Amino acid sequence: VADTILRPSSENLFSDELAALTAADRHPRPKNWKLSPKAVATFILGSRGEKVGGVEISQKFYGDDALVQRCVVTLASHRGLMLVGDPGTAKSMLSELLTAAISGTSLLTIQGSAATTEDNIKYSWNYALLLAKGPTQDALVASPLHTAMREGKLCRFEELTRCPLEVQDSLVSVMSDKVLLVPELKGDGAVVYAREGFNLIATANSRDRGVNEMSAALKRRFNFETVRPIADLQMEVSLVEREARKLLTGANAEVSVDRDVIELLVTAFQELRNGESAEGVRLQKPSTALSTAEAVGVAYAAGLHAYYYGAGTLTPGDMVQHLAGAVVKDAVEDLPRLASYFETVVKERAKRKGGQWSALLEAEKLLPKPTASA
Amino acid sequence: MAAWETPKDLAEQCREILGWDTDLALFPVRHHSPAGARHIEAWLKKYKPDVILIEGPAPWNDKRMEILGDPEHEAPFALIATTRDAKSGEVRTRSYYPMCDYSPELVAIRTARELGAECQFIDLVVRHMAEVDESEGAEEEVEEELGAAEDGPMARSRFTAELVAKSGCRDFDEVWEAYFEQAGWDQKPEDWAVGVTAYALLSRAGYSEAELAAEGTLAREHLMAWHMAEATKGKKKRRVAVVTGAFHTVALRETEPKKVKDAEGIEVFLAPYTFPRLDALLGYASGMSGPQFYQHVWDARKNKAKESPFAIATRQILVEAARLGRQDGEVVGTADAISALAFARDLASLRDRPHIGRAEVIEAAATCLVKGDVTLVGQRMLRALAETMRGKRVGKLGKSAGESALVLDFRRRCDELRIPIEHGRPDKKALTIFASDLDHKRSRFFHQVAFLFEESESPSFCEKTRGPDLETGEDMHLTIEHWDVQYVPEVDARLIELAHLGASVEDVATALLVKRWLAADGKSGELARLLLKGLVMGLHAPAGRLVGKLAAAFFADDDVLSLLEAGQILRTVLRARERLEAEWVKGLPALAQQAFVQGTLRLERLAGLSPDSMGRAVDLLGGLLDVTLTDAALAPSREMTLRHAQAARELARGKAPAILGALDGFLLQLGALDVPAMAVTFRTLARGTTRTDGVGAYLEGILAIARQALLGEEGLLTALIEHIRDGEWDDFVASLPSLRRAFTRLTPRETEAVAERAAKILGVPVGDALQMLGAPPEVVARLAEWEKSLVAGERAWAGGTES
Repeated sequence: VADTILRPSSENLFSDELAALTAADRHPRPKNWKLSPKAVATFILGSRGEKVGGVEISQKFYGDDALVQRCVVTLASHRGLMLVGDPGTAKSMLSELLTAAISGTSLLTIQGSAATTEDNIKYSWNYALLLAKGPTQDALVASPLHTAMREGKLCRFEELTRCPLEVQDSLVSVMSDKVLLVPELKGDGAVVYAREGFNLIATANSRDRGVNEMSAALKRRFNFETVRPIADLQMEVSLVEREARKLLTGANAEVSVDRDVIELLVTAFQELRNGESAEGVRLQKPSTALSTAEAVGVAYAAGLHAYYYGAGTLTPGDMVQHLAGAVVKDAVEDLPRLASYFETVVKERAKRKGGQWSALLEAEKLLPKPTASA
Repeated sequence: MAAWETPKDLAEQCREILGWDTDLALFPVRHHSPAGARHIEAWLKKYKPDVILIEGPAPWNDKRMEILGDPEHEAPFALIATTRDAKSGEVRTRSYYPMCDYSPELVAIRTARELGAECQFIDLVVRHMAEVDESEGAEEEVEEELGAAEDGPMARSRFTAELVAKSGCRDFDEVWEAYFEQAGWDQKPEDWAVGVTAYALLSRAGYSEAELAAEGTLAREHLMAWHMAEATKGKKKRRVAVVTGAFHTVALRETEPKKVKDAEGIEVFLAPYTFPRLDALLGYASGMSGPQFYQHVWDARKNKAKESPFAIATRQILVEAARLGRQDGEVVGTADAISALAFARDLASLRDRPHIGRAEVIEAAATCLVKGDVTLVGQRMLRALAETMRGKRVGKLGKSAGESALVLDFRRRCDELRIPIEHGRPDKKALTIFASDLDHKRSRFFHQVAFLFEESESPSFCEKTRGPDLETGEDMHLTIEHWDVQYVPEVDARLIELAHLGASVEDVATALLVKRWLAADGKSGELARLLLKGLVMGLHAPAGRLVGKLAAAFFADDDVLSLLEAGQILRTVLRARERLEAEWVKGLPALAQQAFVQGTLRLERLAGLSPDSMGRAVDLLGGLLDVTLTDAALAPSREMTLRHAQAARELARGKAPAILGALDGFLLQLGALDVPAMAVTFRTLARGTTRTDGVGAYLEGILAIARQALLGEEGLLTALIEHIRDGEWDDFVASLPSLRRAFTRLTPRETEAVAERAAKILGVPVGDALQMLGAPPEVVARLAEWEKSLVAGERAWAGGTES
């Protein structure tokens, strides 16, 4: 991939791994799948130190192996897969990895929004051709769903619940009958029968404001999987550290990143997320979902800060300045919560453990102050 | 322990440990493992031992071992080993050894019966810990535990931790299930046993002797080894099979036999058990150990279609969970159950597991039956699944168990009264005690059973949640009694503990009633309460005998409160005479009167009561007033009452302002005192320096009995206003908490009325009283200081410590 591309798709980014897995795969695979279910799981969960066809497969999704297995099993069945969970829990990434491994492309994607129409989901027309030639196959603009059905591939539907209910429901017949009708066309193109291998992965946030309900009819066509934040502290620390380093290297920012500082950040995220500190102090949860992705974002921004404005070493001070931006999405509610975390948890730990916790407490003054109305 | 370099070496060592080609063969098990149960059955039939030694409470050996294998028993049941406190004789610890159809130990016992082999238990009941922490007050509460839970050391071992990390399983339970249930089911018994032995060997290698000694493991193994040595001793050649937890199996051959002594006076008895309790005791990490799932597997093990028993069990569980979920309002249909079944099968296959396991069933249900975020909308469905996995089976014992007559009577009565013995959700029973004869009988039975569980820590079989309460006199207008009924294993355990007291629930309730009567030490109130209890339970004969003894107790009782309480309770009994079928108790009115008379004669003692009993005293005085005003037949003569109340008042003056207030209120109600006299007393108390809470306590006493003192004539209110307006600031602050408390005796409407009248006396508009005043800073500072001392005062007044 040319290095000018900001973010290559998973099938391009991991093409070596996918090729190696395809070559080594001896397990039975469902029709039109590029890999067997086992190999798909290995692609996402990694080969754990072993080499597959000379290549070690990296771990891409952390924290819940069984979830990945269940997702693969669902995709091999007649039901669609619905990934739900808080924002930033890697639902979209998981969906991208699954489609890349199973269908070889993660680009058949519909982005759901309040403005999504039935045309975006099914098909629309090239109006110049439509006027010139009438409703013909040439004039039809196929949607990702249309293409996925025709070719026996997986289609991704991001943020399904952001679409209006009636638009969502246009999926019901597609999901149950596996048929898409194009009544304007005559002959072959009028009925698109889904080929084997077709299925749908949808994602939805359970915490978003302004999402729509899903009809019971559509729900029945999906198996639901709840993606949770990573619960294991050390695993999340490793992940955040690795990703932040990767991003900083990509940005040519040479910053020394201490694992202890990252652990500080992830501990704070986990405790605020759970509404309880390790010592059992009850905390008020911020209105934002403090995801791993958000933690990576904070660590990356703090790293850049250290590189451009600091001494080239990531410190708790750099972190605090960017922490507020991540945690505080609603200043009136969240700032006092963050302040109370410093007051009740950080202060206590600084007293007991010292070290980085003292440095974090020291950096508290860098937090924005609540305004009088807060 | 020998070292091994290859898996082959390890397997060889395991085979040596097992010694299946010798006359002393070992079989490793995990409790409640269906695969283990299946393999041990096959192996024993092949090995044909003369003696089978089983890890179980050795003290049971004194009873007949065959009893356990009786085909009449329906599992689950449990051996319960109790130890008692040497001094008090109360039960101190209770260890449960539950067994179900698929427990390898029970299968071994049942197979032994078939083979005509002898069976023996070889384990200690009380763990011999290396260091016992004496500071843990074991005698304070009955300790309950699962007897012999070896999963502990194996589950916690370093080897298991590694295995969990490497295998992609989530915990020990999943590791075990994947390797030894799902994969182990179709293995040959020997291969399975070698695998389990190897696992135990590798787990044990991570423990030091000291750790094992501290857990009491070594002491237990010494005794097991001793039993092994005993069984193989003698000239007659006997084939001995030893069935123990795998963790012990690997050590037994090298353990020195020692006859370790168990604690003194251990009793072991057999009692029915339930699946919900088994589920809870096993305490799997996921919270669902699933005894019903495994029961289905076990029941389907010999199905004709040769289908995987795990698949059959999965189908049964998923269909049932969907049904239960529907019942709770979830929208799940058969199609969902079918897709969940296919899902579970595919998931097991993806994980290379030849059968569907517990984990796959739970995951399939969560994925296919829950429509939405599991944490937000899945709770009802998951609860239904948990209930289905758990099951609600309750064991039953056959005649050979020699169940105590009490247990048999309990079951017979439940049967007669159509009360199900189930351990599921609590069964809600609404008893129309006046309309239905059956419900009336049930109510009496429930009261009897509940009485057996009073003063015991065991959860009761039944609990009244709502309905008329004769004891407190509350909700007497209600006609329906609501009870929660639920069988738990402790019910049988408690019944067995009480078996020596009688042969039927009624007998035991009577015996306990008499016991409590003797322990009441002549306190009239408690005695009257027991009489009432006896009548509520329908124990009329013993209650009748108690009536005769009450009068004598009244004369001997010196406690005024106890006597007045007895009077109140007897008055309730009289009122509910018909309902209690107590019309036959002839002397009841005279008895009640006697209680009130004796109480009145001792009214002077009120002044000497401790401050703790003030509230109760004030309430009981209110009761005496009520009977004096409304129930002349029960009340002592007015003249006598006034005489003693006035005498008590003189004694209470300066000593007990609350009692003084209550007595003044009492006398006011009887027309023997007026409000101006009260105002005088109030002013005296307000000026007095001895007690800061004097005025408030006095006012509270008055308001508890005669609220009109403040609402009617103005004298007392004026005195109160003077105290607030003209008194010393510090005195007022000191008396404030008690005054506040006094006003809680008034309803909000009454408080408002008092405020309105106060405003009038003070000549301010009523509305102004509620308006806030703008105050200069020095006043604010003073008020803040004052508030601080007020809070401290209130805290001290409420009996709290200052922090």
